[in-house]
Amino acid sequence: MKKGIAWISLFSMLLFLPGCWDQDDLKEARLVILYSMDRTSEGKIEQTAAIREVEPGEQQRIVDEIHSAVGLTERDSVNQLRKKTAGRVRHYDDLVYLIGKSLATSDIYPLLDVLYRDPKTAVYAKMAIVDGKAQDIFRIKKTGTFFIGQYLFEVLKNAENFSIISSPNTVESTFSKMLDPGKDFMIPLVKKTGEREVQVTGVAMFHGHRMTGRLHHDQAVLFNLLSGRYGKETRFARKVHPGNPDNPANYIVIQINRVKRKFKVATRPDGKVDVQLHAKLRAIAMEYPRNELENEKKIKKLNKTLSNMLTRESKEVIQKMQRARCDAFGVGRQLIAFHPEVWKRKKWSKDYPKVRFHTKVEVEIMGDDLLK
Amino acid sequence: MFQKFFQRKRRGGDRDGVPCRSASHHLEKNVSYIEQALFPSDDVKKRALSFQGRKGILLYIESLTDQKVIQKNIIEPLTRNHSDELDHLFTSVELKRENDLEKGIAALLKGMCLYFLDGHKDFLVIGAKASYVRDISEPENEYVVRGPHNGFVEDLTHNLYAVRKLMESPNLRVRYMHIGRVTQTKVAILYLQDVANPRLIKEVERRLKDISADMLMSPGFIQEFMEDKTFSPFPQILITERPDRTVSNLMDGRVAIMADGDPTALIVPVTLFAFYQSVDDYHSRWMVGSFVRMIRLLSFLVAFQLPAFYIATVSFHPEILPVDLVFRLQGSISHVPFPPLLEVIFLELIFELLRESGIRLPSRVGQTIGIVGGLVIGDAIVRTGLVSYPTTIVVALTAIASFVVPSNEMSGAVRFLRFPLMFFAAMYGYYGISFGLMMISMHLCKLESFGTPYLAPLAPLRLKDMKDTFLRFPIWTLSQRPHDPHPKRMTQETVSRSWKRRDQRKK
Repeated sequence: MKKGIAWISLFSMLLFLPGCWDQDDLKEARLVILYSMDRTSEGKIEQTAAIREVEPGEQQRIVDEIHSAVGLTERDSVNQLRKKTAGRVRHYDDLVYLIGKSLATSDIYPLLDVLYRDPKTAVYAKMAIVDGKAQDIFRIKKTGTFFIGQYLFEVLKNAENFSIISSPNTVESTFSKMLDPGKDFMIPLVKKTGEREVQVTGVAMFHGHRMTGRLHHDQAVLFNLLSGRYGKETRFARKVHPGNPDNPANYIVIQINRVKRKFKVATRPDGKVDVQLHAKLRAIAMEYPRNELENEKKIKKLNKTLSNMLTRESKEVIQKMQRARCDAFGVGRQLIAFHPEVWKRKKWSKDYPKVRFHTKVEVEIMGDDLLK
Repeated sequence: MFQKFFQRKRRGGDRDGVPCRSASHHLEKNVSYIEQALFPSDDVKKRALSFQGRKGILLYIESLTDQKVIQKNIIEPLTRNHSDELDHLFTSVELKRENDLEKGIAALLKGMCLYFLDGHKDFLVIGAKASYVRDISEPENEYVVRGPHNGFVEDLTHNLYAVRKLMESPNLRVRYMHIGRVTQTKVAILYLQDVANPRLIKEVERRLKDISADMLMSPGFIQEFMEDKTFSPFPQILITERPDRTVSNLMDGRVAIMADGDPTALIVPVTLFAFYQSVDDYHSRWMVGSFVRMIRLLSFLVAFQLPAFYIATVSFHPEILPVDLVFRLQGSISHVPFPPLLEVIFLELIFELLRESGIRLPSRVGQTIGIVGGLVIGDAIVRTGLVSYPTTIVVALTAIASFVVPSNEMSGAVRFLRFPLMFFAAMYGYYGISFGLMMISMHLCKLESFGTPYLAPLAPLRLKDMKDTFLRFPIWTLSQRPHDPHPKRMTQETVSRSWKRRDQRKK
């Protein structure tokens, strides 16, 4: 009997004492869908958030509400924002996280810190650096039927498919690269190009935690191919025949279906680092108005032209990366893993530009689309 | 500790002291004794019939006996008077000499006739039972698509006939018992002598013998008197009205208990999975049968977890929802003035109300209830904003899922279980659910039905029995009986498809 009373009281305590302390009611939540950080002219942090509202009823009309607030840190600006908004502002359904270029050129880790601490942030939100002021993008509000948050999300998803940025490009994936001393990362760079339009213009290269340079989107694709990561629709056009650049017949559009890549980091006794980087791209011709692909010789010639062209471009990309000190290939990581004594002697931000890359790209056109 | 609280003190020696009264030489004395015992019942009939010049009296209860049988088997032979010996005179099947008047009364109540002859110290008990049986129909809560469409009726002999007819085996044993001090209900225990475990049979008999109640209403009373644990939502005895289901369980080595006046058979021991097996599984193709059984087992999980998961998701972990869904959900639930728990409980209770009233109402009014419940309440309740659409969907889904179980008892258990889980979910979110589920699975692991683990063959694990648990393998692969009732013989099938092997050899 005593035992029974003990059990019953234990259960009733368990049921009634906690008082739903962890409750996070969806009913009361005000969900932020797009979210950006800018630096104000006084050097403070300005946060802008698009909060999605759904009007109750059968016609669930969606309204995006936009608020901005200025604060000293990320969370401080959130707190300022909360003073202006109704209900509980929650961040677990963020789709995109934007950082203004003015903030990206200084250390971005303090901005992201809070995202990694709070267990309920949307770590799968896509990240982008805005060329210009991030706040301006919110003015688009709606493109077609897409609201701005969704629109940006889709645009960034396409950028992943086109290999402008390697997938996944999320707050979470950036974090692990950010903490690795032997590897740097890139974040896509977007720009408002029209009244209702945002474009991924390329990628921002980071060294340490700050933006140190940028790659044009063609170069970004090449970088991703060189690092062996490519999306579903990696395509690009190149001029392969001399002549009028305005004539489409002088171009070929290829889609990369497979990349075989060799990446070797070797050290010399004098401490110099050599990197062998070979990429073999298997491609199909998506568009080639000249129609010469049944000829074995012509294909070989085409392969050679493309290989030379891409090798040359790759070298430019790597030069640019070295200038920005962005070690996105992870040469440093290889050194840490296989040549730790060399790594210890290096000061990587100074020594990385001195690394000698031996780059080679081979293109092999396998066939055609559909016809022939 | 609860059992102790509810256990009453046993009354000792009540059953052994059945009074005994020997009949006397005097006819009048005997008859008046019996008449007094049954006084004042007007349906007790007395008729004077002399035999070879000696006075005799026939006693019977009109309502329990068949008048035609009395006329043909008792009165006619007596008046024609063919034989000298009384015992050879009557043409009735049941005929017995008895000395104890108390036993005579008991026999009278079973529909026998008593014939007293003056000067004899004993009397004759002659069978002339009447039986009124309703039409045999398919049990309404156990319909099948294929297979036999007959069910048990309220008459025990009829039910035994149905079982015997499906199983013409000399090994089928039927043992009678009379339980209930007042009602003296006839209970039959059925088993296969060469398959059922003797210890199981002994255990069933022991538990039945221990029942000392005035009344025995089958199946509810028997179930609660015999079950291992009554403090459990899960039924530990399978109740069926289908002869084919009973026979197939007997073939597994289980024991069936049937009582007179009730169209059900109670089958022991059973496992949780037995409740999710339907006769239909074996009549459809094995792939289809397996698929349907998987769905049924899935419905077991859905039926008591879905409302809890909904509550926990909406009020604790909305971040797990995909972005497109979260706004749809938010749009529907944001205007509801109650917390999700109240909302769900409210609707669940309305549903239980509708279900209960649906059973009680005659079928013609039942349609009205369908309209009132489905259209008026279902639609209006959302439009007024008392309950949201997602909640309606969740409750409707659980309702459907809970009725997929081919056993009414299990369906009730599952419907009941979701309420505590809902409370846990509303207090602790997913943690609460996992604690609740942990407790339920602990309880299930501990549960036993007549010495058989309730979760067998999952816990304890026995892979061979899995062939007929989650899936229904082709019947020719089920060469062994399930292990859980511990049958004496394991093999139930050998090489039924050997013709195929022979064909291949010919080629």
